[in-house]
Amino acid sequence: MSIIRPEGEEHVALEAAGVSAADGAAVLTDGPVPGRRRSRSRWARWRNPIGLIGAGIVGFNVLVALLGRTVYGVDPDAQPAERLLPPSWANPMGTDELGRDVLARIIHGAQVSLQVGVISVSIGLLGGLILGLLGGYFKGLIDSILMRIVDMMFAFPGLVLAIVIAGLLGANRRNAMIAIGVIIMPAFARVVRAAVLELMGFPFIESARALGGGGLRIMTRHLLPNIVAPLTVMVSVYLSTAILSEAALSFLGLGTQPPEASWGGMLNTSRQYLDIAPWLSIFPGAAIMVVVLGFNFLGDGLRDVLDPRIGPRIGGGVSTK
Amino acid sequence: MSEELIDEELVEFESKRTGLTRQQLLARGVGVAAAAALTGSGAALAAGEAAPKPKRGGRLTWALEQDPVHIAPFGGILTSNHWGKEFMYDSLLEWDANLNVRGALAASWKVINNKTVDFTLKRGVRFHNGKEVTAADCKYSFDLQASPPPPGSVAVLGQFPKIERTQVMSKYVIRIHLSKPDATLFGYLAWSRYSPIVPQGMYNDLNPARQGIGTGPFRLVRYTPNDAVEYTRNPNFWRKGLPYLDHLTLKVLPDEQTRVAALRAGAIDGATLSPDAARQFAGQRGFRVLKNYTAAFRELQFTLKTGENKPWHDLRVRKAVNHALNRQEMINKVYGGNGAFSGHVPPGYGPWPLTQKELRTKYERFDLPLARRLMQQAGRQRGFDVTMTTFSTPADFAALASVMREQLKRINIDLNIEAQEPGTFAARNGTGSFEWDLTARGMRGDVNGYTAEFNPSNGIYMRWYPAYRNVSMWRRVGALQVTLDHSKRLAIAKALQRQLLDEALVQVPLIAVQKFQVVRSRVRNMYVSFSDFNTGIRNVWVD
Amino acid sequence: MQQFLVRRLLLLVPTLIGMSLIVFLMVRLLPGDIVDIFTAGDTTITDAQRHEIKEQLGLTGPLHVQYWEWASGAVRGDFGISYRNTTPVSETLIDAIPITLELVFLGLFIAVLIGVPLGVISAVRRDKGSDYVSRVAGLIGVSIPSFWLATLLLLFTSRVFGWVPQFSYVSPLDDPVENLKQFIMPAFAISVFTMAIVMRMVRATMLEVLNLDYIRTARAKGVPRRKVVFKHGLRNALIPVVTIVGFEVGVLMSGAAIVEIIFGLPGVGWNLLQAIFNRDYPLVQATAVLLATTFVVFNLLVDIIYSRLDPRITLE
Repeated sequence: MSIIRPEGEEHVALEAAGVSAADGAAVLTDGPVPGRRRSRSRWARWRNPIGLIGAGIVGFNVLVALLGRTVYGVDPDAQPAERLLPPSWANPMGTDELGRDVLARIIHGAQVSLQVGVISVSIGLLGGLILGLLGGYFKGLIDSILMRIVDMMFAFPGLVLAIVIAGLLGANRRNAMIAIGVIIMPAFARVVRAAVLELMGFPFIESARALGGGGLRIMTRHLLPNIVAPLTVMVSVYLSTAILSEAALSFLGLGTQPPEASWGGMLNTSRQYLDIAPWLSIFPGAAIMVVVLGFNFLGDGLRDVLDPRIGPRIGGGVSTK
Repeated sequence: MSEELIDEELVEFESKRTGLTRQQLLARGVGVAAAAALTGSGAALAAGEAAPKPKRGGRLTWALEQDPVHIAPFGGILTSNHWGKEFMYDSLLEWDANLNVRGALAASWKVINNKTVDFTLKRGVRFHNGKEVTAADCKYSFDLQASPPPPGSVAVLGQFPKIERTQVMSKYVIRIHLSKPDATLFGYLAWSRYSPIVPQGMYNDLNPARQGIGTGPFRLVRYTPNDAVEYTRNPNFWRKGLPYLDHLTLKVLPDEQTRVAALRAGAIDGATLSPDAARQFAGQRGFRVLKNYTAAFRELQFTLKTGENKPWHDLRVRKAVNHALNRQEMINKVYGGNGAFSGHVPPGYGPWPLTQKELRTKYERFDLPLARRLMQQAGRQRGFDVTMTTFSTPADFAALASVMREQLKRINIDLNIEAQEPGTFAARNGTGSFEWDLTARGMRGDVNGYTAEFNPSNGIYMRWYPAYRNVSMWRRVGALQVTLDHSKRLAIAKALQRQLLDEALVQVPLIAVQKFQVVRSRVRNMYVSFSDFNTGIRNVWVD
Repeated sequence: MQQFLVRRLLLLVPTLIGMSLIVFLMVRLLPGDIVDIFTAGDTTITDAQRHEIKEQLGLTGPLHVQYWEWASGAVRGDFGISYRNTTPVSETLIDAIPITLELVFLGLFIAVLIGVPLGVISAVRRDKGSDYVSRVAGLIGVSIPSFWLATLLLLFTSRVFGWVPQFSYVSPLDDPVENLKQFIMPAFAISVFTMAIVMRMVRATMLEVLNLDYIRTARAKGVPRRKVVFKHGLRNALIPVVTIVGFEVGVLMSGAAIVEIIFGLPGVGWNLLQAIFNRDYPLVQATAVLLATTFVVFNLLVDIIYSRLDPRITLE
């Protein structure tokens, strides 16, 4: 597993605002628009086809995760059938190495994988927001210390962290999510900080200060709303990163614990059967791809809606193996 | 697969090979000074072929599924340690393909009394450095065996017999003094895993973790961690005409799919594979699939601690678990039908284990109604939740755990599986910080090695099941170690195993599985060794 | 510039100290120490024997003393001796680093070689067939775990061509052709993800640049499209590519572990994983410090390259 974070370096001063990517938060290129947004064409922008397709895919997955079991009532852990059966009417996606129904496991996996995605990204986002806001707002020594911590988090090998967390807290999905969250946290911290540093130069922050706004108030009322756009894109990309990271942890047996199904875990086990039962790889692989596609489209669409000045640009250079 | 007949199969096969009857075979075991006479279906698959004349020369590349980590002769606890070093060293005794004890560096031995044995060395045997093997080298080696220096581990001393000291009687005679009678000595020597003979002073002359000088059929060229161990033929090997190969490479390939690809492309000559992966090669031109049982059986372990009152402190609950587990289903689902039931001593381990019939129809019978009744009698018909930890790799442990979980659901036990990275698992298992563990046992030099953990004077007993008391079991465990008379010993071992399954059940032995090795057809005379090592390579030749 | 370099190199010091401290503590917090690994669950060992082993390895003193001993050795270039195979740690790393560096650089080279042209084509031919094809290819790239792709490639060549790369490292100095054959598949497996990201970044930057006023003006004045694309568009598009590549070096140094295992290449990642599983503290610590250094150094290089690519950026 490796997690890529968009990167950059806070020590590079951008003399020319407007050219960027140098600070890594490529999505921030033009800088967010401070203050209120125009609402004029928002509705029109909602009819963004890519975004709608993305929303459709993600929505469908959420539905599958929530209702799949009710509609397709096969127990994903039961092992009634023969092992390694190819797809048939009885088992639309075949059976796995223990005779479990692959479709039922894909459906259950939707729930697990979405949970992994959402929770680990939330952890990463929350931590990143705190580190980035504090660093960007206070600057100076606090910033320096926080950024050294972020550097270390970046440089810390993700696999090591995952193994240590599994060893200390136990190997299970919850801890895998914590590990993934911590691994992606520094990327969020950097992007947030870069955005905040840029915003701090705008007059509306100064005026908020002059009006006696406290640090917390400025951070939550003025800074936070203005970094939502780049974060949205990052979140959508990292959701897929997290799902794939869980697959890598499964390679080491530290992800979702047996017998529970997750797409990553299924993909990992399926490697053993690539030759004799390729359907075991195809279905979880396709499921991951569709969801990644959905999240990315949704992210692109959302950015167009939230931040119209930035072109139809995809992603922020993030994700995983 | 006729598991019911496995013991008969083994003996029958053994009789065919050796032309001895069952009685004679067992008697021969007695003949070897009370040592374990082990039989295994070792060369079963190779034996079917007409025996062509062996050829000298050629290279063989064999895949190891784990890095040896180090190849020090003494105190290597990992099976893979020995995989890396087994061709370099010899001990005083050895097992043949069917695990009968025979002389290796020792030409003969004489039991002076029940605490003293003299070993007479073969003359003219030379180490890889040209020096002749003498009794002084043996003494040096036994001293190191008694306290293995790093990177070896004193933990292997659990397998070390009660050797008090060794004495050089003459250039070729070494005397072993035991502190008390110990039936495990010969098995320990023949196993040779912990008992190699090295030249005197070797630990001062080189780094034993990565270098070594022995008497074995191959001489070490180099060991590169995580990469390969390379050997070249020892032209002065004491067994004339052997080995056939000029060059041997043990290549570390931890990923099974890599081994499959490498085998198919001819990059390696042989490897251990899972039953599913091996099946792809069955009947394919250019490959041969070998299989055999090994000593590594799977086992469910409980902790019974004082001051706790977990449901499984009640024997009825433990028995319910035992009878709710469907071992045949485990074998079919996880091992493609290739396995047998196992008691506390694995099937194939000589005359010692209980028969398949006894296990299948009585002690390990799958009987759900009985299991439910037992749960009811224990007042646990509503079941309970429990966490079972196991290894995260190899993958069959997690699969086996999943199958067990489904089976125990039927008596309302909700098994929460936690697959741990091996280091964590080993630590937790060793300190007894677990509820249930799904684990495995391995080869032992003597049957006593399988029951030593039920001896209350053993530290592990107090960590695993201090709350369990059974004086008659304790007595039997002790008697098994000190009794020298083979037939008495056999009776004790069988009675003890029955008692362990019937009264104690603090560990529930599950199944023994077959190990599959696939070789290219140019590889001749290979067999899967019961000991879980690749001993067969010593006598392999290539076309 | 010089001042900048000095300052950045100085900043490396607290990062490395912090990193080594964290790793030092973390490996010791992991359940199971070297003695448990030595004994592999065989617990006939007595507490006295356990203590003796630890003493031999210098694990009995107070933590700060242990750390000080290790750190003062490390500063002099002595990273200690592996607990498991008693090899000096530096020797192991010296063997492993070239393997991983070659793998990572070849992988990133492939990523850029394919990713950049795809991105350019995709931007220039926006919303045409080839745009969609490359975008979907990019999404596939970010959805496939590299270890799975690696397995697929290996099984494919073994089945179809009856060929697999050599599994023991061949130095490019000894046999460059064999070396390349050996690395091309694993490098491709680790490249797809970066390739996809590079492609997307290039596409996005190109689209933006092509819409800027001065480009439009240039076009209106009759400067050929091809020239505009390559002179202005590509130059700008390369900036994020440098960011990604510089960053990926640091990540893949350890992140390629699983692919290394699959291809039997004992690189840094594989050694690190093994070392953790073996609780081989000196090896884990040295590797972590090495990784942190690589990460920081490559970030620095990225910044320097930026300032060359874009004169508006200065290094302060």
